[in-house]
Amino acid sequence: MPEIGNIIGIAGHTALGVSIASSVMCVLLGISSKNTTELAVIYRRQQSLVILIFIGLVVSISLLVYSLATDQFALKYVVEHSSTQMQIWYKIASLYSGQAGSLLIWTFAISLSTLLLSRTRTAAFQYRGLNAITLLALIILAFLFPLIFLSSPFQLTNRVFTEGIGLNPLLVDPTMLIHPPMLLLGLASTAIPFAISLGMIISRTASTEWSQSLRRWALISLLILSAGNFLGAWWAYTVLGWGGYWGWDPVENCAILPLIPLAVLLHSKPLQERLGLFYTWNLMLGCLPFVLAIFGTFNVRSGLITSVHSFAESDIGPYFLGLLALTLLAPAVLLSVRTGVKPMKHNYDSVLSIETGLIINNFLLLSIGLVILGGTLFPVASELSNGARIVVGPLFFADTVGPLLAILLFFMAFTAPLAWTKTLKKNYVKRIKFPLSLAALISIFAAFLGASGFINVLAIFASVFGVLIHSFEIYRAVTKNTAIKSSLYDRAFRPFKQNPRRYGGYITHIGLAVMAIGIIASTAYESRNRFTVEPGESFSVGNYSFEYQGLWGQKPETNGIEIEAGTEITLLENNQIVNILRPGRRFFYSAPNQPVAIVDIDSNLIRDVYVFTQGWNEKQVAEIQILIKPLVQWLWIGAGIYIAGVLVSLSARDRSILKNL
Amino acid sequence: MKIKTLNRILLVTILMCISLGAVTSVAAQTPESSIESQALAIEDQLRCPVCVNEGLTTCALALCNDIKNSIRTQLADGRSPDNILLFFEESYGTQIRSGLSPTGFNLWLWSWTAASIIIPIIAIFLIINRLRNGTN
Repeated sequence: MPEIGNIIGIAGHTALGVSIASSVMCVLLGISSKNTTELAVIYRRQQSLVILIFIGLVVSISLLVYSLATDQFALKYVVEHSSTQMQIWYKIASLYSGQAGSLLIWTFAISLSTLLLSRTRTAAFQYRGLNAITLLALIILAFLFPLIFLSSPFQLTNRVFTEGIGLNPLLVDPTMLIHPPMLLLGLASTAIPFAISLGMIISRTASTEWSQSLRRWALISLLILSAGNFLGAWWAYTVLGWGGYWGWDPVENCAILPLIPLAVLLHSKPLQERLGLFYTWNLMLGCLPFVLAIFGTFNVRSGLITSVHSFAESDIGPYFLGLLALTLLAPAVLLSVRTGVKPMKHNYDSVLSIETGLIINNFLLLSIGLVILGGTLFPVASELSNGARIVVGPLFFADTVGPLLAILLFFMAFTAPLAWTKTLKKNYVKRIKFPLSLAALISIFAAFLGASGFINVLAIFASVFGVLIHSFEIYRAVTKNTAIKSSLYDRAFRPFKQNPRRYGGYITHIGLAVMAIGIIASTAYESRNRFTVEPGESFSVGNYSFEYQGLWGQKPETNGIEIEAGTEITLLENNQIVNILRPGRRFFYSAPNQPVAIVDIDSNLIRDVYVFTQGWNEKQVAEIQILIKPLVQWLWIGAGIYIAGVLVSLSARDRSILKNL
Repeated sequence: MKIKTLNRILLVTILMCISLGAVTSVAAQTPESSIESQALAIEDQLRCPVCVNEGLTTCALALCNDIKNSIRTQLADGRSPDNILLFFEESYGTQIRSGLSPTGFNLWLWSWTAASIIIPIIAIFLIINRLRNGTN
């Protein structure tokens, strides 16, 4: 049906054109608004234009989804990323598997965030929000431009195709239906803190509405971006077949880099609100996540770095380099000439105060960010400098970022019981001595049982201390004022209702510490074994026995999969059958030499038995890898607690987030 | 100390000990001295000489399987892990090592890392000192 495809191509470009025209008008309106009496009228017009931009992008995405779902091979994008063999969900997932499609999702996500921001009902924000909306319209325009002129998803093919190449085999997994859009949405949402901060710099204002809005959007970005990264780690663990969840790949690094200034900003905002400190610093932090998101986008699309996640080298790279320079320089130049807000007089009485804790934690986070940035850019720097690319592997990051994270966990835990301005030493010691002693006792016990490596035991100590101290602080808040008669439910939730920022933060910290326990245990105490076995042969790892039964194979006839084959292994613990595991390989028609691992995992809260098959020969002799990963499930549980904590923090002040974004 | 507090301590201690005990008991199941575990430790320090950003352990290329087998053969022949690592470094160049030695151009990255840690520490002291002295 090439005719329909042609119509869709034209309609798609028209819809993008509507969005471009609306963005241009929105920007022009913002720039031309000099008379303050007209601001309200102009802002209302901008609100309408933002809706038009959004509608244009919704239509574009709908058309592309329709084209993918109905195999419109008149479009080049559909040929390159979809196939008639694929299930409908994977056809839709093709939407963000290519450069143009993912760029369209990026633009749509910024437009959605802009729409939500423009619906803010706080009156004071409306007038001052003009700058932010104008800037966002400009950013949308900057993303729409390459969508039409450099990398269009609606580009037509010059010959007739009846079949497409299909999705990259690694992406044929249910996690891929949610991980990339979540990550793209998270990265795109950083445009809002950027626009708000830059708007504040331009208008030289520091109103409460702006400040609250900046905090909420930073939290929203943190939430979505964190969830996207967690899903990515889950995908790596369950699909890639290497038993890990984080490879310190340059693109993975680019996905977590924006999280660091977001976290620093969220911990630095209270210092500004209470003491008037770090105003300029916070504005810079508000801009930085988006700059780093653009940096990541440039990395992925320029061909500059080599990664399994990156797209091929394209014309879009230099464009994003220019955009990166602009987003980096604009706030820096404007900050140096336009801050103009006098900081309040602060009241810092004692080193033993929450202020000190927050300052130390913020700079530690900054250190971690700088180390990751250095390791990410070093291969490029080495190639530019001496022509040879020096790859920075996971060992470098484990050696540098690992200890810094352990120190951060310590300071995070020591900060929890501190009060603003001044903490009485006696009270502080009273509050930390029990969790600290208990954590020390548990760590000594762990070392006595065989936990090896001083740094590992110290990291366990820091993590356990983090879990305990934050849990005890929440417990103290729940049991405070027991004289007031109230139900158990009311008492349990009172701290979260009264001070969601603090206690939501505590839950997030508990989540981080639990994740750290999972990470330390599953990496430092992992057992990795490789066996070459014949059918009927048994082998064992500790208390676990494995019986290799033979090979299996099936033809799913879907998603471009030619054949799925692997080994059948009976897992026994203390001679009792625990599970039948079927790890193997998935072969695709489009990439017969690039099979994807089928991992099989027997999980519980104590350990994962992670099994994958490296290969086999015609005599069915198979090479099988067995990994015993202790406490790895706590990584995912910790991630869930972390997300719950951020959600609690988001409920601060008012329940209706959308109402007062 | 109140009974309630004691119960709380006991419960938390038991829960923590169970989980940490589980870590160490599971970890202790593999004898560290076996050839296989030594081979895996060597594999962790090497990367695939062909693929980019791919560890030797996880790479499924035939060349990597040959390297893995060679590691086991050399260990069985009595060669030390350091000698084996040196052998592969001489065969494929320093790029085969996963770690980044603090020599040559790598020093730039290590210097950057040191500065990334030292400068924020100095900043912390300066800020706290200024705050204590009452200056913005």
